Amino acid sequence: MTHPVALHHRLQRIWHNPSGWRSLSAVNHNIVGRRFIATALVFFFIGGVLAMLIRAQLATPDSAFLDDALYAQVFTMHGTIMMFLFAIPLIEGFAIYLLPKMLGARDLAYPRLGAFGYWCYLLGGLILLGALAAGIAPDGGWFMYTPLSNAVHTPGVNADVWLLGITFVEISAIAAAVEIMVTILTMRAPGMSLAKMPLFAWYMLVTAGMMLVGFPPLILGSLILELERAAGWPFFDAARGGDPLLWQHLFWLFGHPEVYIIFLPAAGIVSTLIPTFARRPLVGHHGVLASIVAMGFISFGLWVHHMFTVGIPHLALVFFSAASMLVAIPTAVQMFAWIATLWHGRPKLALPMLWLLGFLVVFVCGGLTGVMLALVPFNWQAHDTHFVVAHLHYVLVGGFLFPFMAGIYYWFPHLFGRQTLPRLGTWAFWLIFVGFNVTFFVMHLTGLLGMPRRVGSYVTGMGWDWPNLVSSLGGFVMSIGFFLLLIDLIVSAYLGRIAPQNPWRAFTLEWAMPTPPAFYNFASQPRVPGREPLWTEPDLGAQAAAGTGLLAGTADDEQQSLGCDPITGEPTHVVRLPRPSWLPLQAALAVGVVFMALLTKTYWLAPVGAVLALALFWRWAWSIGLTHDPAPVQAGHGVALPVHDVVERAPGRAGLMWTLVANGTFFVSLLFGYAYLATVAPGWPPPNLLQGGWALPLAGGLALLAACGAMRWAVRANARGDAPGRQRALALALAAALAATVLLPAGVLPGMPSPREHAYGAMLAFGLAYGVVHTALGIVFAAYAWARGRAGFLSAQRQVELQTARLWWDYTAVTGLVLLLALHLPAGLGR
Amino acid sequence: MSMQCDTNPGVRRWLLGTTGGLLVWASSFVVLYGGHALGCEAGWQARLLAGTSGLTVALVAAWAAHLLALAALLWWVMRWPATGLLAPLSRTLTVVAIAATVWTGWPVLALPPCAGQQMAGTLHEETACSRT
Repeated sequence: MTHPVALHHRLQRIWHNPSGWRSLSAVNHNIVGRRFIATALVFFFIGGVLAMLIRAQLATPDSAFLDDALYAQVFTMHGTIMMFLFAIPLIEGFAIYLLPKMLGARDLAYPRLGAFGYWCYLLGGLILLGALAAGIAPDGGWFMYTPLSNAVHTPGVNADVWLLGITFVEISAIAAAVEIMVTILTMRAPGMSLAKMPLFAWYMLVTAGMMLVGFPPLILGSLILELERAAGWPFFDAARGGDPLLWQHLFWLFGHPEVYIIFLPAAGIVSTLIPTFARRPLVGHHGVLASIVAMGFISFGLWVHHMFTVGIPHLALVFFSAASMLVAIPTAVQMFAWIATLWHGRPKLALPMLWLLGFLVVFVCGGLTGVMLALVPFNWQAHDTHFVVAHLHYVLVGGFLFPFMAGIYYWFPHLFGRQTLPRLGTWAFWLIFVGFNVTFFVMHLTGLLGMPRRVGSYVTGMGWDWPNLVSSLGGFVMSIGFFLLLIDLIVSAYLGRIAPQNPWRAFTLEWAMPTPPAFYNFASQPRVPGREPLWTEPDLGAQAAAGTGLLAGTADDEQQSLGCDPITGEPTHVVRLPRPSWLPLQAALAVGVVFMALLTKTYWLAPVGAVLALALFWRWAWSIGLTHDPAPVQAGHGVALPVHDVVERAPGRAGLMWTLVANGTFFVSLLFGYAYLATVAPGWPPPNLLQGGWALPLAGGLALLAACGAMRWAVRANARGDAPGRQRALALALAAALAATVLLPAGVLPGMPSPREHAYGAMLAFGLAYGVVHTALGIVFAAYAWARGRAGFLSAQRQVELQTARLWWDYTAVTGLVLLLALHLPAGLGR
Repeated sequence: MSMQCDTNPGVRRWLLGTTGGLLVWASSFVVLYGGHALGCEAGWQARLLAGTSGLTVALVAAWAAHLLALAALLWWVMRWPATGLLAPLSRTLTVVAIAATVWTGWPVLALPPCAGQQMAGTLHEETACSRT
């Protein structure tokens, strides 16, 4: 066995990350996770300053502090920043930093994807901040309702900034979701079965699944609203067959699950911290697990409760009212489990625990007003009043911010190797807790007195003066608290006392390492003895550092981590991980060029950016892989494992599979939008239907099937070791992909009504574009597989890239055929 | 180091056990909401079947079909050996799915299907006047 110090030095060399400006090429999860957390906190303080501007404006009636236009920008950006640039990225940051450590892994499945996601987030956020500084920030509310946000009512660039900037940021959310999914399912430490997996990972697994299904409807909505604004395609224009309510459906199909996407990771922190501070395992582990999964599903059945007042039939309202009340039950199960754990344990009141107690109080209040708002008659009364503002802040601040503040204090010693100052954090907590409740408890009353939200000034004599003044005073008390908290974190990071290795006597694996951690986390990957590994084996960290686990002394100078069976956690392969690279930053900049070109209406530049991004992604993919069949890795203890290039569960293939889940949700949302307009929107049937015969669509369908079939043929030939046959099949797939890319539009464009005339034409054009983009990317997949085969990267063993290309074509063929039916069948029947 | 494996029930059984029931609930929710919207647009509520609204009959039939599917799933997961996490978790989640399907679907028995539709239609007529 290698000496522990020698092992450490060797791993330090292999996992080395550059410093200075070259550190921008870092892809290690320790760095990327910290960047996400730090950037999210910066955005939080910017969002907080905007909140103070709102409270300053509303403190007194007839205030002239902000004019209406500026107030609209301020409250829109406050909501947008807090939801998209603070909450989701902070979750991503915690997940990226913590998950590999909790799972006993050395890094995430796709370190470069994580870095790419960070740069997309930062650049998208900077677009929004730049617009704010320039006075052209979005001003239609964080929900961007149409028709207010269309080109007639919001003619400037403000709404475009939101639609494009947020879509850019959402790339990082989808990237993080895929990365979290694959890491949790396939990169756990030896023996970490699903039953032994930490609850935080369970919460993040469900959250990542929700992100893959929840975000695509909003991405679709944002794209088609931008098309309506920029090109006049009337998806939401009731006069031309569109429907403004389609936007609300797409937005809230994302927006309500989003509340749970934010809450579940916070609940994961609570379920991790409470057992630590209660000094006993969580009560009702099994019930909590069932609640997490149930919330993940049921939270998708609530979106219409944001639309109770838009004029939906009563029976439909009751469906959503019932689901909205139902979701309180799994939430309550967790709440009782936490209380029971504290009750049966020996709770220790440290600062993170103080934040958790604050969470229990505040979130219960928010949950109760949530049940009130789930009741249709009350909702009709309270809709669009400050009651709703109070409720959502109790839910989001109570259900997200308080647990995450607990998490920041809890993992601060891990991040910095130092403890926070002894008293400043407590003062900050009480100022924030008191300030928050003074601000928002009173706001329920302001709402019940009838004060509408999103209105920048009000006249005196309505009974709203004193509650608004109290709320503003409370808001400023809360701000002072956050200022103290900021000072505490900054000062402690440099001057705090050095923390012991596991200061809270926690049970999860992230504490089984020196803090701050080395880039490789574990010198060897330990076998996990149970659900609370450090309580079962307190010296597990020392054992891992001594190299008694797996992958301690492998011969290769590669960054490696174990891959595992998704259920049992037993090691099945070794994942080779990439070193620092500039490609994520370059690719994000190229994608940024596309978004900036669309935003500035420099449309000729958009394809340039897209081609550049595609070239960079090609290079990115090309830089991995092997030109020889690799020998198994001797992982230690007589265990020999294949590298990921030759196994079915390779990260690349699994990643594409989960990406296609998100893509499929986008496609289904598109079909939903089409069906919704066709059945509900006024002005249907459209004046002109798609003209044309069946020959070209049929030929297009056959080309799709041919490409898919040829790709499968290539996989089979490759498995037989028939390299020439594989290359021929790939050439055929390439030709069929080209044919499909030509035939799909050829069957539609000549007889297609103008996309500007009616929403029907707009839907046809967008659906066609979806199909063509997929077949065009299918060309790239086929060409890439062919080129890789020619360059010697494929063999009967090394077939992952071929399987990945096949997966893409399976998806493209199925969705392409559905699309052909959706485009041509209604027109054929209607003619 | 021991390489002893836990009993592995397989990925498919895990997926089915932990998500199958709630996927059936989701299907029931979508079918009831979507079928209700389509039925009201098409005027099925005016057609009488067995003395009641045709749309109500169709919705109740769809609801009952989902409940039957859930009952079958529960019968199946109850037969799984009660070792490890999967069997109890699957049973709990299937029971949760049945309760959720009953709770979100029962309004089809209690309310006339398209009440309030006229208000929705009026609102659409008003929005149709906008020129965007």
